[in-house]
Amino acid sequence: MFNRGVVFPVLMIVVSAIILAVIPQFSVPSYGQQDASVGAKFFPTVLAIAQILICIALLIQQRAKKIEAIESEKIFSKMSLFGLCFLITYAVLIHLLGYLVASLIAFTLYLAYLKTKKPSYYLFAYVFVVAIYYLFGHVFVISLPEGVFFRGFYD
Amino acid sequence: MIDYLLGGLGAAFSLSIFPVLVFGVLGGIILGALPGLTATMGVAILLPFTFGMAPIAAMVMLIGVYIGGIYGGSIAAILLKTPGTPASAASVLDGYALTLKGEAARALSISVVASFIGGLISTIVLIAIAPMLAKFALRFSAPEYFALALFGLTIIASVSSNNILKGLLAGTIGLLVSTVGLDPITSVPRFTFGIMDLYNGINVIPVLIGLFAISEALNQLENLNLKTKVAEKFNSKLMSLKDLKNILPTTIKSALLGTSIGAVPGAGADISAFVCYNEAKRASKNPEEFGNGSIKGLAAAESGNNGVTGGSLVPLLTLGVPGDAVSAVLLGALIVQGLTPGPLLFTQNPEIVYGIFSSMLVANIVMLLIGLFGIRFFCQITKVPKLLMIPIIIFLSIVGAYAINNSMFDVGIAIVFGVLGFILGKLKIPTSPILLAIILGPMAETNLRRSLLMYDGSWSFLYERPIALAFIAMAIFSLWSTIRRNKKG
Amino acid sequence: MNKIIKSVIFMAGVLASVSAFSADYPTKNIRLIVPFGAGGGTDSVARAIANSAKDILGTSISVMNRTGGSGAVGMSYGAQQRGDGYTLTVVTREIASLPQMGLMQNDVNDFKLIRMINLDPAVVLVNKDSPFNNINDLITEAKAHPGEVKFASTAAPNFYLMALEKNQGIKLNAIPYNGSSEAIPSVLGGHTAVTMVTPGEAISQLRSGQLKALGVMSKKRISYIPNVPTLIEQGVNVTTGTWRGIAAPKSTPDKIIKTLGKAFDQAMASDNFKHFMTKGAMTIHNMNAVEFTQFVKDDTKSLSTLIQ
Repeated sequence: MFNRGVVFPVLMIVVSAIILAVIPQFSVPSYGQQDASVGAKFFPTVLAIAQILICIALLIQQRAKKIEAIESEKIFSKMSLFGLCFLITYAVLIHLLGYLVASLIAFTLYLAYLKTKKPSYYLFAYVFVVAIYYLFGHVFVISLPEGVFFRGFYD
Repeated sequence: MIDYLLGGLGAAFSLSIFPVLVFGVLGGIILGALPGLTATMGVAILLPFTFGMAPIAAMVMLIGVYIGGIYGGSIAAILLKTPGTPASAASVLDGYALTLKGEAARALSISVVASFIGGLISTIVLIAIAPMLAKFALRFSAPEYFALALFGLTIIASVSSNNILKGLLAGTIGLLVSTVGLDPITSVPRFTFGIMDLYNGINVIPVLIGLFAISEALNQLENLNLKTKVAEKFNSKLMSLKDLKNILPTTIKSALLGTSIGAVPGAGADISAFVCYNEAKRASKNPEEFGNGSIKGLAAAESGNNGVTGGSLVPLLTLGVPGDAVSAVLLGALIVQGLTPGPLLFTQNPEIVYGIFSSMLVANIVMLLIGLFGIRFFCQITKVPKLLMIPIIIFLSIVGAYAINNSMFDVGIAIVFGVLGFILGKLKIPTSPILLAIILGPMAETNLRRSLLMYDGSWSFLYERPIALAFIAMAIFSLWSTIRRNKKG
Repeated sequence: MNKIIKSVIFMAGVLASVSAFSADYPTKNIRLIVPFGAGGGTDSVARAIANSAKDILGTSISVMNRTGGSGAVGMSYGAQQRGDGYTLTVVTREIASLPQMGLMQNDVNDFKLIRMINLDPAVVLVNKDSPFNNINDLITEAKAHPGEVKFASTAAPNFYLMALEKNQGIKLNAIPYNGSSEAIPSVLGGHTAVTMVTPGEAISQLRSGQLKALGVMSKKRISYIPNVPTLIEQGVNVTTGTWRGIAAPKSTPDKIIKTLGKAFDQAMASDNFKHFMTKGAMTIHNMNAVEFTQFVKDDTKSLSTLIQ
């Protein structure tokens, strides 16, 4: 098994290395724009190097302590994976169908997946969704997503 | 002056003004409690409605929203670990720990009382020495801002005391995220990969929603059991007199700190809450309590963020410059009413100035009452089954991330940071340093480079300017005391 | 509570008037995209004009802030919407500058411009204790010490300053700030010597005398600060400033553009809007679609000489 105390710092070192590779590609300031002696590339470079150093220190610390090496619990359990899928599905649904329809569908899916049979839960869910819709749209006058398919549906 | 103040108080309690004030405070609390909706948004939306109002009523309503909004963010932070605004992120650290212990009611009462004291003291300071504070604020130039940001960044070490290295890693992640977008000095795109949505950088609100709310929802899902409630234990006891005595010194100190931070344009409630939390922890005899439900930590953060409310009106009223986004809208509201914020306002329209002062006093009292009476209702949230609470948090998070800029892109940002926060949680890497770094990173970088431009490339500003030097000394001291504390522990 | 009741009554009124209004446009809510954040100058002008225009059009107009890339995100978003007259965009001077700098994909040709709303010149401002008393004092100093006079710049690059620098062959030390709310305190605190902002952004400091105006960068003096001479009067032939207008996506039918144009004419003439602009020391400058389009073309050209 991988030891996450090792994998993550290594991953961050790789990310920092990629960042360091991207920095030289920043375009040069144009239009006679002056820059400080410490330019646009300075901060990201310092930070990426600092991040590498911190990760190396973490790896050394990990080695010295040798603890938590055997940890069988997975980062993503079945439920949290479901949560992640739910989030993404919900976001895509909102994009396509708009807030109201997407939320009603998503809440129903969620309750069904968890095999809830209490009608009161479903009722609560729908009331909540509609209440938020009303609160944003008509009290705060903030437009919620309309969705690609339903433009004009909510007006 | 007293006459004007009494007149203002009379007006604030009059039948035509008081309901507007209550409406404003209540609206602000609701807005603040919802993630993604901020006090700034609230006052901006309400601004056109004030065009037809009398000047005092208009200002009273907007100020009510402002004060209520800063407090409202903490309710969700304490009960659900989902701070409604960046300013209440520091309240999560101890507030949520108290909720888990079943002491939600106590935490909420401490929060509202500390917010009240913070707001009250800051208003009194505003009334008493606004012009002096303004002079202090004007001495802030790029070197001072840089030093202040540097000092703020040392708090990362303090909020991650279990393992400083892990906190620092979170800090560099946040700082790197904060460099995304057009470079503030030269407008050169950095890490934007041609995506226009990234040109303005990554907005802190979706990051906040992701790191706290969404990652928490994923966490909760993991150990979901069909019957669990949000908090297993619940004790309806409010704070005791002993608690009040305990938190009072910290609260007063934080209120004064918050007022000074608020008086400096560009430094707001988010920075203040963390600085005050840090200071309370540094001064505490038992710093190990912080993060495990310390009432002092909660009180410091709460008093610190509401302490900003009075402070941020200092530059607005004395100089006519807005100290933060909310006071920019207040400035607009005053100008539309035909008033000239700045030194002239005190001589030409003292009734307006004192009307604002007294309405702030009253707004704080209204906030205290709504907060105290509301505790019973707010606490009902902890009795909602988790099964229902999780999707509610997710829905509010997504809607909030969208509403801040009407953009699905920000929803994506929130989800990405939600997953990142979840993974970091598993690795026991603290997430609040990321938030702190995103708030302070641009401030540090921009002002360092601005200073170098002003000083023709010389670094002498670091020791030539007394305020900057003081902050740098404080930064070193803060680091040193954290390290010393860690060695002991 | 009163507010809600009022708005309910108002909504009912709107619905009634919509059904009475038998024409085919507008029949539903109009969205007005503001490419800058809630609470800023562009946002408040947009909310004020929307507030006045909604009664004239008989439909509500909801302001939608879509920020990013100095306005590029919101304006590009607006350009890519359906041209049905229900999504309008506030366009600002950035639509002339950003595409030339490669910072925005869409440009003014992706829009049909409806009306210019306001045009504000820049004012050159210094601290009340500054040794500079007119624009020539500043220019002389800048010539004597090139790159040393500290200028609090509200944006990077700053086209107000570049116009003056190019015309006079001078160079100032431009220190970029995040808009006028940071640049003004910097001059007030004496950390920088001079800044350029619109009159509305500095009106309270001008009225209270904390800041001194060296000159206004317009052809004629402006009513809010009648004592301040123009740069032209002082022998420096530079005019610059900023403007805002309303536009619809390119594919919007001309009939709808006309309807909207008339509605915004009325909105700009309304007492509410005039009052708002006067108090804020902003200048209403109504330009019809043809003039506005020509104006933007000319401004794009003049900016390109600065950018190249």
